[in-house]
Amino acid sequence: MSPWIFHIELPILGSWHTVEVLRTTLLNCLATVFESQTYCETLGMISAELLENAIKYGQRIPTAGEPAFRLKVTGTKDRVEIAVSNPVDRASPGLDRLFALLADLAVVGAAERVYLEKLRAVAADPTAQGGLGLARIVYESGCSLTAVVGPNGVLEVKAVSAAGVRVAA
Amino acid sequence: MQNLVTEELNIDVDMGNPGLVRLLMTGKSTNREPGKLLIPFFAEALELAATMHAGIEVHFEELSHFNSSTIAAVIQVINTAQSRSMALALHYDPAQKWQVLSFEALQRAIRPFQALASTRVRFVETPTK
Repeated sequence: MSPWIFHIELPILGSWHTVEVLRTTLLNCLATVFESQTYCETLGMISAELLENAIKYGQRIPTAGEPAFRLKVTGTKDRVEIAVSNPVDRASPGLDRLFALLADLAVVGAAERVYLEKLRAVAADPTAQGGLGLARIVYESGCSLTAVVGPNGVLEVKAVSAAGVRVAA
Repeated sequence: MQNLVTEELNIDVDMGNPGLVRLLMTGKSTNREPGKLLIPFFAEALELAATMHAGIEVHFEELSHFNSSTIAAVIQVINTAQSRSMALALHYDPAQKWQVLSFEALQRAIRPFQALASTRVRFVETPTK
């Protein structure tokens, strides 16, 4: 793996407003690194959907002096990792649903099926929006999506996207 | 019918063409619950079009970004239009990859419902340049 060429890490206030501020800020930062505007927009979409998910479903209680939410973006010449972390209630049924969805999305070639199923579910029931953003991430970007709950009760959801584009010299 | 004007999203209502209600979206849609704003707005537009025996065009080409909650609202608008047998056309910019991905997925998602509907929702590539 290449040594990292950039790393952005930010503690985040859990207000909805911060999602769009961060998306546009990242878009501008990444445009200085990658030549493809389309690729930067995709990374912006990934970060926004991950942050929206964290703010919607994460707990707001800071743990042991840590900020409630954290965004990490790490880039190398061949991949970009975007990770969003937040405290979670380990007993939450939402956590089981998250891991089940990620397992579904991890099956090769399944992203389109899963995303279309999510869209159809929303069409039938407007309240059934859970997981739509994560499915969109994998469908639109082709990235891999994983999650882990650390011993401190912090959930980290990470997207890894192959860059496949030239980096600015 | 009034235009929708918010801090980040505008929808202009254009009734300059007989038999057609055009909704022109500009800005971006990142609200936490965009459906609360969009669904009543589109419901009013559908009602207006039904009264005028007009079709509806929704233009997304000038939109720079929308979140997945907005996609959820759009598919509900599609559903409503189909259930009312209304002619709805969604225009998007083929030069913007995110729009192509979003609207092609929507098109595929509603295909099973389209087969049963008396009118079809149209997805129209509309280059802006």
